[in-house]
Amino acid sequence: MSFEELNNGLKNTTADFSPHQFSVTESVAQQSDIKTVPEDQWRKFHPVTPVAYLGSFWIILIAFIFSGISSLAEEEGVMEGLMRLFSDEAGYYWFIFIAIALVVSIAIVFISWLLWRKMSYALLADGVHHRTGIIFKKHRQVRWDRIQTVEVEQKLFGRIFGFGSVKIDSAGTENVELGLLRLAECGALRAEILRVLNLARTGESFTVNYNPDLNQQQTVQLNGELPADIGSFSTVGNSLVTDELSGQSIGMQSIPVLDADDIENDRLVYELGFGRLFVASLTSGKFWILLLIVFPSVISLFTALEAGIFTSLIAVIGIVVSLVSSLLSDFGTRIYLSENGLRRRAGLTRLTTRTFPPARVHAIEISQQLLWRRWDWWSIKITVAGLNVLSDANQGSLNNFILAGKREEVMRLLWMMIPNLGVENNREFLKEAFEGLDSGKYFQGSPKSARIFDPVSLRGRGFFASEQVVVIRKGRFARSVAFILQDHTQSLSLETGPFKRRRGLVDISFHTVMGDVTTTAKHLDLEQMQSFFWEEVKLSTQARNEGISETLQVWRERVGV
Amino acid sequence: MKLVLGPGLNFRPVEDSYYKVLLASTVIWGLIFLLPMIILAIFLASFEFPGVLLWVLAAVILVILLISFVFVKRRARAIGYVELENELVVRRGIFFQRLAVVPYGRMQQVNVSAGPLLNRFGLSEIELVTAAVTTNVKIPGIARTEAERLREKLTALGASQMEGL
Repeated sequence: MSFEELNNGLKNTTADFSPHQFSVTESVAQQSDIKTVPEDQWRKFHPVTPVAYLGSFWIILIAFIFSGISSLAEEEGVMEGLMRLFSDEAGYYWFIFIAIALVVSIAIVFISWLLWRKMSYALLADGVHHRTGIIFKKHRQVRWDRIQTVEVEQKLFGRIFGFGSVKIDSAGTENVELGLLRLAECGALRAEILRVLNLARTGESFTVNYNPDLNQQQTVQLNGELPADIGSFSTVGNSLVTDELSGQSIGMQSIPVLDADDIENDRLVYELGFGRLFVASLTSGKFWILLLIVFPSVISLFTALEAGIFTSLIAVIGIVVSLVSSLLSDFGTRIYLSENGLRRRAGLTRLTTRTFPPARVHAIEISQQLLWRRWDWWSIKITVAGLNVLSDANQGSLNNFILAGKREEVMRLLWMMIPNLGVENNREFLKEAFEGLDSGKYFQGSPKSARIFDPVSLRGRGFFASEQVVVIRKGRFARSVAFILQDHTQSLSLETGPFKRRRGLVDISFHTVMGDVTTTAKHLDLEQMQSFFWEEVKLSTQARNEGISETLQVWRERVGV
Repeated sequence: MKLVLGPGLNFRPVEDSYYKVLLASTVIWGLIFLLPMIILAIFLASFEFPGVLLWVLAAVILVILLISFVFVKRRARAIGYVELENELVVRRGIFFQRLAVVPYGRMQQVNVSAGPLLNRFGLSEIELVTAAVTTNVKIPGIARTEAERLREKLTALGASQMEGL
């Protein structure tokens, strides 16, 4: 069951459960709720939209041709098969095939064109409206305060010709996709939606003021030098580090932002170069596991008879494709510091831009692959409220916030997401989090009695809680440090099994919204945890009551945007 | 089988009759696994190598079933909950013990349900839903009146203490 189904499932139970429920979902209003939208408020998408629908048809077509060729080659051998493919006799079939493909293409474009004529969107005071359909008409409205994330997406067609679509995700239900639009228009539209929804959420009054024609003329502002005062955890609260870091622009040369959708004047705070992407992917554990799976196929590729060659080839290609596609999704990752949060832009064939408002980040996991130790690279994963709905399987969920960053870069991003760790000396604390073993000044390690469950990496395990964050450290040579924001934990639990109990061990789980961060601290001392657990319950209650998360305003001031 | 989690908390147990529900469901599940095994074993009716495996499997299932019979009462008694000032604490399990703490302000829904077995004994199950799927907290085997009382109380508390995510 996918996350989306699960979410819908939850929503359905909500709907059935009458007067006592107090659900927070219910995002897309029912037909009857929607007030009529003045006809002149409706905007159209770009006329190229119907043509883009052809893309998926042609992909199917190409796959069909490829499977035809490979079956032909398997029957008759590679050379003979290819010969037959280009013989006169085959030419006739090619002609018919191409003719059919053309007719279908034209039909698809025509139908899409009819659909496109009825497609429009509107930004109004009561939300974003989107309507489609000729026979089955559909009018959807997403209220401003229900919008979870707004992203700009470009598929291959858009990448080549400079179009994109704006995807709006609201809790629980399907996304609203506004597109295609010109890329500059996408950027402006996203910026406007973000601006309004922030005002709507804080309860301020707002006017929707979106005029794409004006925005299109807006010039792209180039970014200047990065101000020296940009903060980072390692520079906070310790004068020693400031010397190390000052004047140093780690991986952040003054690169002008030339991308067409970057109309906000944002600061680039992280960039993944191709070299690092490549090396980091090749040295990741995932790659070696893949290699292990591919290996037999490669062997058979070299030893197999000609007849079987295509089957092995397809297997190898499939695996290479899956590797490359994971590489593609992280390609050229760039993180910008924008007014509305951290903006992530990544992907080669499918470029997505997503803004993560600081208050939506619930947990952050920073981890290091075994082979990355020499470069001190770390990757960041985050758990974001409302994101799981967006990341359906075929889209490849946002696995990495960044694939690999140097420690300074990672520290800076961490600082941008977490205001305060609740310790006096951040530097000392983080050093213990990233390098420490066993119990230390801050961390509570796992007892020796757990060695039987975890002989190698036990010493790396550790647990820490302040009023601001819970930090779970694990792994010894390949490490991972998870930060969970105290005021975002939903509930927590202690768990122990028969063997663990005998050794006086317990696991503690922090339940957060669905995301990529693992939030269980394993093999902790039962006796200590009994009292500590209630301490932690108190801390998180306190954190929620005080609301330790920053508002967007405070965040802006802190990071200086 | 000591219950190690949450000492010092005065857990309220579920209804005494809940163990019967556990017993019935154990029997039903046991039969679902056991019957096909026995039927197959009888049809193949051999005590030689491949056929005898079925008997062994059936015996293993039977033993597991018998062991579970011994523990149903304790399993039922291990389930307990406490309503604290700010949170609900739920404990369950004897082999795999779990103690969950759900702050009232985090509850998004409180569901009351009763399957055919629970219904037969006049019992209900209450489920607490938060924004985290992993919360997964259920209290099975409480009386219907108690379930209604809890639902109303938790819902009211949840609404008054509701917090953002």
